[in-house]
Amino acid sequence: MVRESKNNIDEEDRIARILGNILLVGSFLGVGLGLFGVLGSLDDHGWMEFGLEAWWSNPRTGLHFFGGLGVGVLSLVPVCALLVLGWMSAAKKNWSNLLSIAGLLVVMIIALISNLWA
Amino acid sequence: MDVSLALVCLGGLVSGLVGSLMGLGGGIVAVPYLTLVMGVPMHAAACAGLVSTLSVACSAAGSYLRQGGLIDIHMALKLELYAALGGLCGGIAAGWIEDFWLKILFSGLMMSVAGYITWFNRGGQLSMRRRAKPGSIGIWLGFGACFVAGLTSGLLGIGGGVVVVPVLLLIFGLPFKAATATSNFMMGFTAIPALLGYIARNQLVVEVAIPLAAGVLVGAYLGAKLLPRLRVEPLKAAFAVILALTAVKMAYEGWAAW
Repeated sequence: MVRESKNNIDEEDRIARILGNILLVGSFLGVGLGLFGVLGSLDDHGWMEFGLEAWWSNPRTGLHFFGGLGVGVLSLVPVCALLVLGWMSAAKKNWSNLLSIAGLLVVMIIALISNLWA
Repeated sequence: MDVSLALVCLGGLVSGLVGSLMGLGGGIVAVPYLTLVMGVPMHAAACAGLVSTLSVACSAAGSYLRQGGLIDIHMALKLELYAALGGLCGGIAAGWIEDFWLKILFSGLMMSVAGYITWFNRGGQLSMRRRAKPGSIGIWLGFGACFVAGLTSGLLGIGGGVVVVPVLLLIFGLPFKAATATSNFMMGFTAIPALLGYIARNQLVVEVAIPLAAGVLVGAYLGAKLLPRLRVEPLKAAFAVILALTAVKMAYEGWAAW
């Protein structure tokens, strides 16, 4: 009984650490990618400093690509965390959490569809 | 739009620092800074505020989760459903509301936050009297408040912690530190549906949003490091006055544009 309870606590700690790592790494990666785009587009020769002049002759293309990628990563990080949490909750048969996660994903899908449609 | 990258980044840094010292997100400082000082339109400023909220909420929640035991994930998921719905509605509604209305709404929010800080600074306590029972009116009030927090976040580009933390303390009976950590975990999910609305309307200005997010991220980190070494009460009193004055200026600008 005691060992089972200790295993549960260890498992919860492990899940929390995985989620924490996803959120931390993702937030810095998203901001870093976006900053790369912004810094590269500071002047006409910005991309040359990064060796990307062959990709974009117009610095704004790079800005929108990396900036969009940065914001995209930032937005996807919580969704990934949610999916990991959903997977763990399904494995532990925690239906209450699973229902909340499904509801949240539905809200995000509605947001995506309604905005794409708009 | 021609804005100085360094000034946006610096504004973000100060917003993150001040927000962290005051126990708030950076949005309440960053959005007025962008609109009143940098001349960024209110919708673009709110969108940039959401991006910085997203980055700070993710990194703060990540740190709290790694520390372990602070975030009540089960409660956060339950409440987040209502906050995310609010965020979705706020993001959509922001598309219908004119810039000057958003300014007036934001000034109202700043006034409320200034009042809240003053009250808290004068010894006001937010402590649980009785934890609400499942299915009771208190619980539904909590859900409603989370919806309002999401709506405010989606409309004005702030994190919504100023509503969620008192709800977690007063209705759901979490200790202060756990309430702050849980609120941070929730903010990231609230910002996404609202942010999608702004992106769809082409109101995301990357050269404003990203440097601001980077500045706020660094500022919030510095603030967390400085917090134990500073006496924040005089700072809070000064901040409440500045916030109230900024609110008046913002309301005036909104009213003038009406």
